[in-house]
Amino acid sequence: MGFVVVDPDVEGLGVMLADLVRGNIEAEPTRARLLHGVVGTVNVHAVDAEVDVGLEFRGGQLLVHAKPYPKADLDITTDAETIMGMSSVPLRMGMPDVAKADGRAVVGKMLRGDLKVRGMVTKPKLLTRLQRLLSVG
Amino acid sequence: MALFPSEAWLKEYVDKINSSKEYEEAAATWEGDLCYVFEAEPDKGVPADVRAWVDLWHGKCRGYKYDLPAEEGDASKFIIRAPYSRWKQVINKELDPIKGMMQGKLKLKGDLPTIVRYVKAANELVNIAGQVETEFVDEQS
Repeated sequence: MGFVVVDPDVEGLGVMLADLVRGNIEAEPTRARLLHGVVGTVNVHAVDAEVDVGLEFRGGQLLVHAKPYPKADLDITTDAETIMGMSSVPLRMGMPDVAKADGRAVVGKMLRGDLKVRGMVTKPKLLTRLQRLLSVG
Repeated sequence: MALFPSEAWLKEYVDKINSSKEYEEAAATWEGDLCYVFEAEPDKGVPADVRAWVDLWHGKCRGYKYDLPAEEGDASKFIIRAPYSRWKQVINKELDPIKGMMQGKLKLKGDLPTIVRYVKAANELVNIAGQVETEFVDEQS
């Protein structure tokens, strides 16, 4: 079984997130290690596109579900463009690099409430792993 | 005014790509061909799938082909497919392509990390499509 498992009814955003993680691991196989030692659930909501997806880190494998989890450890709510932008934002220690303009833009969105990440204080490891798995920077 | 879909429309589109400074900058290091698949909608005047291929290289389009065979088009590095009426919405700027992909209305095949790196260039390609003076096949007088 692969590093990323996608439920059969997943489409759109879920397929894109799965493809991003798969593509990144294919290009850089050591990134598969980012899936190890981390367990938890993440919901991603693209509000303007009206799509949600649930991700589950299973300590070595990422499962992509078509529906969000009732009580996910992390809950990311923003618009479609920001979700795409988050993948190309420069990272420092797994978080947006505020020394770079794109990194500051993401932080600015968080401060304005355009990007909400519930659980980032209690589950920072889960967030940084997700960021690094999705990052194409 | 160019009829969509048609070879004349594709030629106009390619001409506009090649005269776009914004696209040239955003795609300065892009290397790879792209095939758009306009899926059949017989009731709207598109009786069979149409494949439009563009060879994109370092901010320019160095070649194009219209209505190429499936096996040739499907060998492209990137393929974006959707029914004709979805493409019409994209060209008319009624459907944002990123949202469309997230909603599963447009389907992308190819290395997604590469597309994400060049998302600005991809947006420019869509903007340029919207600049072509277009008459849609299902609205022909």
